Amino acid sequence: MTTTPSERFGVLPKIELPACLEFLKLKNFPLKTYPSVYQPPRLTKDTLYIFGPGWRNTWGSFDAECLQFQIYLKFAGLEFDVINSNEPDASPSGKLPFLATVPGAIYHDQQIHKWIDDMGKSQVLAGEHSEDAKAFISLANTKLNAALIFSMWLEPLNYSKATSEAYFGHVPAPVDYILAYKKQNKVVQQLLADRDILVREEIYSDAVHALEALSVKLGEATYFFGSSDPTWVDAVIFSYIHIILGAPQFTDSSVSDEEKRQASTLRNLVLKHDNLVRFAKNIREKYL
Amino acid sequence: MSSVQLYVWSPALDAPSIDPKCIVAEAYLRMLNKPYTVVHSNDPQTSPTGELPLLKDGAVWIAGLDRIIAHLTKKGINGNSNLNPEQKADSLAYNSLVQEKLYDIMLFTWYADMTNFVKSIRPIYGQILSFPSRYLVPIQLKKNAQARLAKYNIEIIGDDVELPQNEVEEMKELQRTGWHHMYQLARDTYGTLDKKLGDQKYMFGDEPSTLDCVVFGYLALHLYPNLAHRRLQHILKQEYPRLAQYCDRFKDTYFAEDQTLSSPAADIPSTWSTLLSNPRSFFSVVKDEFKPEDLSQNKEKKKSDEEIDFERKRVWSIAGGVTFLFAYVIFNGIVSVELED
Repeated sequence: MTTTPSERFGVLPKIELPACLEFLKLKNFPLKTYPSVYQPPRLTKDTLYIFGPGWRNTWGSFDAECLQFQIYLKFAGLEFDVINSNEPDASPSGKLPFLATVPGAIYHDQQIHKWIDDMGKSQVLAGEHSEDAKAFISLANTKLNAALIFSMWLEPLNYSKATSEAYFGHVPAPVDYILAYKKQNKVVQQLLADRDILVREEIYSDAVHALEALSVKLGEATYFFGSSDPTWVDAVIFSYIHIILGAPQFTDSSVSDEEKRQASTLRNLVLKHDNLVRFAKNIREKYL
Repeated sequence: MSSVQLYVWSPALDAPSIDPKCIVAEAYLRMLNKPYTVVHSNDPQTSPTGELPLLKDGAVWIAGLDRIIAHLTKKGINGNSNLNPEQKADSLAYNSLVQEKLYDIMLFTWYADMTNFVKSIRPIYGQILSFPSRYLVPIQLKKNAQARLAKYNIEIIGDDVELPQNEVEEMKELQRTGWHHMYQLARDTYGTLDKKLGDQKYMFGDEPSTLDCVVFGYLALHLYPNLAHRRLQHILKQEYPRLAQYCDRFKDTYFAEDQTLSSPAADIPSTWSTLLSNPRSFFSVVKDEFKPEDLSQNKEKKKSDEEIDFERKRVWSIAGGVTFLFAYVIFNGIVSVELED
């Protein structure tokens, strides 16, 4: 029996048999090991496990981190399969996405970047703007991500009709309500780690400033920092804009206008910046 | 200009304040030559949102660094006034890089490294906090640090463990905390800032801007504290001397003299007072728009219908409860009332 070290849970402690019990010859057991009945199917291509089909049943995920890696692998021109697993606990890090390669290794987060570098396909931003790119990625991952998860999980209309179904729709009721509620609380705690109180206007005004900065930085170029090929910065920012713009709109009259207006606030903020919309449309048409 | 008071955490560890946002607030006011007095209130509970720095401008109270900067910008005092739109975009991006990554690295050095926490950080907080905060606040700070460091998969264990006694145990302890990822992140971030600074005097040329205040605020707490394990100081001084010199230059220019201290004002709001003034909003998770509390106008507040209804129901329910109490007491003879004819 092998002990596989698990990233999240560590290694089980080794228990040594005391010497006085050697006479029991326990080391001879198991006497016969049968071959396993079921082996998971071998992968033919490197597979990325992500959150389920995207808005309107598209190939791109509805989760920002998953879509970033999906589109970046596309930028790199790598052949890969996508499985809509929707199960973060299947991953060694506890989060999706994770990449299962044909030789059997599993990678997540930074390790996927390292794997792509080893394959020689990394899309690196050349020249003097690589450090600025890091700053803008950090801007998107703090301000824009906060507004996105606020809009998805804390706007009542979005939460009840779109997000909880997307993330937990495959789980039978009533467990899916409980899981969605717990995730909502986790989102609140996550937002509170960065700010002292949650005020809707402040979170959206931070997003406004961030979108303005991104729009100014993009200007009229196709990709960020005037690059001729899309890079990791483009992947990150595209994923946020695509998910915000693709979010379902609610048109039935049973819901109050105020709620509908609140639910679509973030989308309207993004639509104000034509160059960001054009940037997202361009990448979507070319790579998705 | 009426008096402007800034409530901050007091100086500690050789830095202008123990909290980076307080240093940024002070640096911002000093850079823009706005006269102000300082109150070393080490109690975040005095702030309506529970976070220092807190600014009192005349009769208005503003809590939180971002709100203070927004308020000053509205009054016409802007640190970014001589930047073009692209530089403003850069400023916002680098701002968020610094406030996220440098803060996380600082929290790692302070709270995940047990030797630092027990030997340097905990005693400092014990000194500057008063009773009973000195037993309660460090636990809150540690929980906050844990929440922020969770995304790097760093575990912060309790602080009643034995400190490592020798080199081997220290190495094991460091391995457990995942130090080398964090210090790699530190080097990457320092490299980014170093490249942005280049050989310029400040981040955007010869004039300081908001970004300089922010970078100084967070780097000061990497560079100046003499902790038990002062690896960040070492990295900055040896490998990124330009950044260390930049911090020293900024400190000499703007923090040469101490600001006048003043005592806390009488009408200071606190989380308790916000609870009393707006009870329902206090308990909901997402707050309504947060305006700076303007206490000069709170005498003649018009009550909305809902509030009148709420108060009427409150009066009736309290009256009903008290009546029921007396009826029960008298009916069961616990207290007997004798009527004299």
